[in-house]
Amino acid sequence: MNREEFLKGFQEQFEDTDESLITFQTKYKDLEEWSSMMALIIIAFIDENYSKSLSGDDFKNSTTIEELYQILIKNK
Amino acid sequence: MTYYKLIKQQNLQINKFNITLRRVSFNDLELLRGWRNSDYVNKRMVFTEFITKEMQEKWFESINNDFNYYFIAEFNNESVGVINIKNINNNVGEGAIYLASDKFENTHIVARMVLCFNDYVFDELKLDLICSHVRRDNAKAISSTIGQGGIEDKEKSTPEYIYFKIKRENYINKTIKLRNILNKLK
Repeated sequence: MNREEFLKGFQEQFEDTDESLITFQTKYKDLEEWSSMMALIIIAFIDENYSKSLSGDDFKNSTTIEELYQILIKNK
Repeated sequence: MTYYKLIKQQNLQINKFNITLRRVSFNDLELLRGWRNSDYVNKRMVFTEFITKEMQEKWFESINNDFNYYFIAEFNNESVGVINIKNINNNVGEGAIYLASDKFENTHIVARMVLCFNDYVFDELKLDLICSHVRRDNAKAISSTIGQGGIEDKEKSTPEYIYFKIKRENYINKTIKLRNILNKLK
């Protein structure tokens, strides 16, 4: 899964948020749909596609989707 | 695997999704009072007066029965907050949650806590419906409640609060993906 595919997959996890609102620069925790349930769904998305378990610190240490992606590929 | 431990009703403990729910006992009252009187929790509550030790003990006497279940949630041996169902009547109860600290807000830990609790309410207490009041300005809580299968009852909503109903079937259908995730993750 390359960078663009990651973004596409991230967007697809949201049911009620327009894809155009979700870019690499998006502060994902500020999205109205972001909640504890979405955190869990994103953990599963990463686990399925990267075989990596995101930790609470990974979320805490990232603000934008780009930052989350960088954490992901750095530790892959 | 779910593990229900019932020594006495007051010592009920539930372990699921790496969350431990421990039923609130008399010994927890000062811990809860500290959380409840904190600015972080207090400003989110309908009742915002300072709670004295006597008030807290009187409250506990009123909820320490089979119509009300209050649990302290723990994750990795750390207290996360309180989750409860109250005023159970005709298999319907009113659910609520508050966190001990803002560091848990919108984290997967809260999702685990809610799913563990709701599973207990629907599977063990055999309730058909959980009702809840959510402030209209709390977008995250609204999203989370909808994520649990909550549907607004517009007749009972007010300008300040949305009245949600979570039916057992809606909850099960809406959270299949989430529970599959949790079963896989552990």
